[in-house]
Amino acid sequence: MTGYKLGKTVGIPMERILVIWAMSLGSVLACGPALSPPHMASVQLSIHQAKQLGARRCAPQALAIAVSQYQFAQLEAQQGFPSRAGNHLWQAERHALAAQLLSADNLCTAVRRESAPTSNSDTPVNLGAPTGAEES
Amino acid sequence: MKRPRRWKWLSLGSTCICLLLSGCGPVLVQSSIQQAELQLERADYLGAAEISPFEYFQAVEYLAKARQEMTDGDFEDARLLAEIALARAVAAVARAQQQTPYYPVAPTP
Repeated sequence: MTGYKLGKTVGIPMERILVIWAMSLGSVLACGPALSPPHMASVQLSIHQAKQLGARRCAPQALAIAVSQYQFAQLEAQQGFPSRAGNHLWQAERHALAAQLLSADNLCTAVRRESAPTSNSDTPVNLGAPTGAEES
Repeated sequence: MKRPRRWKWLSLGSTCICLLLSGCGPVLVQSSIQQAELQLERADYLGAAEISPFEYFQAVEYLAKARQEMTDGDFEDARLLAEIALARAVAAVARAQQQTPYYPVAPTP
């Protein structure tokens, strides 16, 4: 067994090697997608840019999912579930990028310029969490 | 040692209250989710997915999250999320009704 050999050659008891191995395995399994304030901010910026490009009109489904998933990520992060928050943030990021791609079309920009905003129904949802993604 | 009768009734009462409260959580959530589902069906019927897709798909997302939270046993969050889903679905219905000139009569919940 490698642990036994390592323990013999380096001089570390095998039990200690097993404990370290188990702890590192546990930490790897416990961690989900990365969740950090800069990552949150970059996703928020991505959503904002998608809105600026006219995603509300050109890619409403992708934008709606991005905004919702971002809010779920904020909620889960506040409640102390970083792994779940990371999953939601990943979804938000993907859909925000999709919204940007779908809105980057020239036709979409033309439509956006012609039409004035009709309603303000995407007002922040108060779920006890600050909804930064909604601010535009 | 004999326990006083007052304590006996107090413990019985608190047990009953605990049982009632623990039983009400899922019922309230279920009711909120059902209301949101009905409004979403209504929105679907009125073509809100085409007319007001932003509100419609937000409602869909919030409803899915509410269901997930209910499955996880977080009833308070599930209820809040279902209420937001309901509000979004109502907004989608209202917008669909405004923008559809001759819309059919929607089924009332």
